[in-house]
Amino acid sequence: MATTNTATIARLRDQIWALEQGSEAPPPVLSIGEPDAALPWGGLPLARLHQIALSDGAGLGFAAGLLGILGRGRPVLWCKRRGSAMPFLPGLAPFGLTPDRVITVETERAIEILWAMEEGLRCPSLGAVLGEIDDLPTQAARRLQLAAETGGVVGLMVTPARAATGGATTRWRVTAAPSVVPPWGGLGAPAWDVALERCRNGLPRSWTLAWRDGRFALAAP
Amino acid sequence: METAKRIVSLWLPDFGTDRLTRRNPDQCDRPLATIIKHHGALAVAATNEAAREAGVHHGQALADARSLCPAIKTVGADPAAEMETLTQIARWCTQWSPWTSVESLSVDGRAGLWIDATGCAHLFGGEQAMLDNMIARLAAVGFTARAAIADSPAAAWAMAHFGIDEDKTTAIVPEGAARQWLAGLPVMALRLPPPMIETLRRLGLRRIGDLAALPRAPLAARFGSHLPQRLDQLIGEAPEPICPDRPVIPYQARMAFPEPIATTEGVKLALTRLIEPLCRALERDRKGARRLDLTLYRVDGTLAEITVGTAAPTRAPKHLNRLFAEKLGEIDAGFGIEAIVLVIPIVDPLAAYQIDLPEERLSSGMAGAELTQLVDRLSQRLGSDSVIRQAPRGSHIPERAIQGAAPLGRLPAGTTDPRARPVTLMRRPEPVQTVSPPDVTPEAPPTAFRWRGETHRVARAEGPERIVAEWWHAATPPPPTAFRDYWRIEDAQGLRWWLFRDGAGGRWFLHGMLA
Repeated sequence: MATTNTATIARLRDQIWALEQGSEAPPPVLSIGEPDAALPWGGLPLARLHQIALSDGAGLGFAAGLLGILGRGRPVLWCKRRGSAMPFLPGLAPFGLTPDRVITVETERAIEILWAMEEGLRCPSLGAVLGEIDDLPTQAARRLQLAAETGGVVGLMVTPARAATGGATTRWRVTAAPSVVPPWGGLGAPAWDVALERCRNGLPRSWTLAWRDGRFALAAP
Repeated sequence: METAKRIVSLWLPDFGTDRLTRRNPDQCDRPLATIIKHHGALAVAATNEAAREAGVHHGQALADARSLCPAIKTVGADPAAEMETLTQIARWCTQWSPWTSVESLSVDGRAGLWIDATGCAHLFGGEQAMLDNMIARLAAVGFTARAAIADSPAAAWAMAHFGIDEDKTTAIVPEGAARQWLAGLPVMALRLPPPMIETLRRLGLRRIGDLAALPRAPLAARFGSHLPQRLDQLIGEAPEPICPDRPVIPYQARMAFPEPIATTEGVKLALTRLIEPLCRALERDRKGARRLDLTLYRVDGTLAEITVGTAAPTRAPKHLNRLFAEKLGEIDAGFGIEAIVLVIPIVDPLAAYQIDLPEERLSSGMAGAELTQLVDRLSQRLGSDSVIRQAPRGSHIPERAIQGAAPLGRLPAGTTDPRARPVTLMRRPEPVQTVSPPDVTPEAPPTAFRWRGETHRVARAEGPERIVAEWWHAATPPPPTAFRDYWRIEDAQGLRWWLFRDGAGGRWFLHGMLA
């Protein structure tokens, strides 16, 4: 009896899943490390929009790590406002972002970042698109989500924590956390407190994650 | 095989006054003159036909002109403004050929232009139709003109000034026929200095044919090399540069509209029709466009220009149309656009297979057509210096470690510093106030620092990494204190900072954020 119920529930869940996603095949999914288990896809889906909310300005490294993984060695776009701190490629190398494949796009106005991201997301030759923006109105998020699905390119929206939620497939909140101190002292692998705040069909969870060997692992194993 | 050159000499005999009356056509029939100061007295410079009929002429004292023709209107001559207008007309004339230049502008208000129309006439239905078109269009914007076409600038000039009958406005000297056609023209048509013309006249040499029949050597001995040179230029044997050297642009197309176009949509449609044949020509030559110049000619004689650059050679009509569409929205059509000319001045080789492939096959390539087109659209809208990559430059001074590089193609070679570097670097290091207990050496990291009004307590620090000035770049050896000691610092909150202590002053600066 119990097995029948489980099987029925699993089948119904699949049906609901299919209805929610429309008739199209589910997007390819990429493993990012420790958080895979909390994600209903078993990893992070490509061809979708993901929001990374930074609580205190820290956590750009977390975004760079995701960009490195999801970019799969292809060219990526890094869109930002002119005047904000410039990503520094020598410091991004540990995240697999080599200078030859990171195209930085600087814009004068915030609206142009959304435009540049949308253009990028519709370009299947790209691996991923990252955009730094102050706010993510739902309407804009929907447009970007649609562009990501059309072009098959994954989008990462880096926003402040106060930015509106909604529209993105997942939302992550990142806060500074002490690095993993090696026995000989000094600073170790970068670490962050990461909360998965929103995820369709997933459960909210949080970890302290460190960047280790090209993946996100628990900072304290 | 080099085809014969075909040069148009455009003569604007009443430029000085046409320039003033063209906006008020009803004033054309009234006597008008421009005035210059000559030896402290006011004298007549340019005159219009009505003034000349009244007996007013160039060089006359203003008082004399006034007494001959009391109704005359006078305006101060403005050589700078005249030259500007003439230069504008020269640019406007690029609707017939990309090579145009100002030939002359004289005090008496006569002006001339050169147009190198080699290989252009067929676009207008032949040379006669092209010349008629020039005269008509110049008349429409208020300028009287005469035009002649010949194999050489000298022959065209001679014909335009001395070879056009009273009742006509154009003349054509057929290819290779300059010698016969110009023999009957007066020697003045050779553009010689007036004293030389006077001498020739006294010798009974009145026609170009008289001179051309004489042996060259005695001519040169008597008159200097200038005269034989002018004769050679006339028949096209001696070169006479008329335009700044410009490369031949084989990719150009033009379209004139019977009715002026006033909407962006109309221009877009016309542009589509220009782009397609040019793309076919590029395909035939296995080339791709790197830069495209579109010139729009407005009815009022002004023009607008749009330049589009591409990150990689392309000949996809759809893509090029999109690049222009972005900019066309900003164009003011004014009273309407009567012609557009599209020129592709810069092309690069582009292999045949890169077009006409199914989209999905292109998408697998790293720098496929889609990526190139994306970069073009971004650069077009945001500016090409806003869409870049960072190439390593082999310097260990952080701000010199990278340089902006093209978004596509091979990056300039260079090594990246393998040591830990920040994920964001500030444009300039910003000073921070530091707190250190009194018993530690100044070289040690601070216990806390204050930046932009917030205090951060240092929890952990790693360093120093000493970066010295690159003395091999300096003319004189830098002082021993020209170094920075960099520290990787983690505050109590877990934020990671890249700070350095300046060797010379001992002050602390923030230079970036670590991951």
